Amino acid sequence: MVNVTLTLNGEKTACTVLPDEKLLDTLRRLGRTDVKKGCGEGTCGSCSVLLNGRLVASCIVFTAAADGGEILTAAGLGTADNPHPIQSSFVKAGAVQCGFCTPGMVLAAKALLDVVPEPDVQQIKLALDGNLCRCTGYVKIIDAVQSAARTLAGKDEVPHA
Amino acid sequence: MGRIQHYERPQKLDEALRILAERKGKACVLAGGTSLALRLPPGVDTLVDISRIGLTGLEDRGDSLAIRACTTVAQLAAMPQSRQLYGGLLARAALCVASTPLRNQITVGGNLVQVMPWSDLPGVMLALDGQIVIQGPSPRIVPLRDFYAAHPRNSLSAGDLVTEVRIPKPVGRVQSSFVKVGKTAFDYAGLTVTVVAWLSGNEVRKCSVALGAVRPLPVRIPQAEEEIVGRIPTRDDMIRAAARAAGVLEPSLDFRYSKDYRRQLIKVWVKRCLHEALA
Repeated sequence: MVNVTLTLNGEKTACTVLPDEKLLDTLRRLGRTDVKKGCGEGTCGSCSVLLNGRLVASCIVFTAAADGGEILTAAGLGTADNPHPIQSSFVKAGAVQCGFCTPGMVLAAKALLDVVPEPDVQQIKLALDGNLCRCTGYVKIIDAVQSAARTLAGKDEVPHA
Repeated sequence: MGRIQHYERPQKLDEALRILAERKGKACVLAGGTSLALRLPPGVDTLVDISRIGLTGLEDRGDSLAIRACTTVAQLAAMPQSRQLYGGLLARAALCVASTPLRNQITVGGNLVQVMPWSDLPGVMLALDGQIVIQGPSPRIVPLRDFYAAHPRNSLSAGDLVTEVRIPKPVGRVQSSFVKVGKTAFDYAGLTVTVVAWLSGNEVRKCSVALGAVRPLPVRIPQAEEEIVGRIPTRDDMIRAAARAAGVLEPSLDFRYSKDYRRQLIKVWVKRCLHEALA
């Protein structure tokens, strides 16, 4: 077994994991069920989290390799009572259907907007290229990221409501 | 899960090499982990995490640029050197690898050593005459041309650790092109083509044509290169080079692309890449 310390959504968390345990399994065991398990092989992006500010597919990250790292999940970004502007934009734009991909999508959007505050459509597509949605066809998702960018820049209110 | 008993996190290269030597054959090098998370080699009970031994970033080696093994594909894509050298070839290819989360995880060393048939960087590095630097019981520098004569999984021995890949700095005027052909942006490549042309005036004095994803390992196509070298290539030269490239290889079986279709892809894309590089 390996002792690992993570800063999970701002909280220092110590845990003991199997040497080949994946971060996704650790996070869900710690109660972070907002991190979804889809394909389990790094293809669908529903398990995406930010590890030290970078988007990763947590199903193919060894937990032991993340030791000392800072992890942000969708629940750490915002909650139903106090959502982050990206999360509000997803709701208002109609970018959420079944919702399974949404935690990963909002984190991919967060990783992008942290670095590129006013992305164009191509930049959004590239940033979200590892997150599959099987419901919407991405149009509303891209709208949501654009309106979140505007809201975060203080430019206007979300226009889709 | 369950087969792995030990997780080692060395802080220095020497320490990593010592662990690999001691646990000969039972220890496996872990970098980005995207391959090992899905499949561990048989007989392995120890993971040696090399992400904290200073193997990240670029270093100037005089006539070559060293890309350290643990540099992620995303880091490579963002580096000013990879955006500038060879017309930005390295950055362009790096951005074609997999998806955003995977580019943040996959390392350059891992991509070159694990080398799946569809891996994007090996063909590019092969076209650039890259060299692999291996530390371990017998430290050595191996040209990628030789490194990819057999699968690195078989030719690297227990105790070997790839620490960097060296890319020669361009000499004179050099132009390049790269394409990844897939069904979607995040699809495995059905074909990658890299063309690099070293020019003197308008004459091509040296040319690399490398294909990825058509065979288990990336390949150079000397038959196509020789149609281009020593000339100011015309459209006909390029068409002839592309036709020879399509003719010399037996594409691997692939459920998405028939052999004939892939030969057709090679013919079209080698021509277009030559045209782009030499335009």
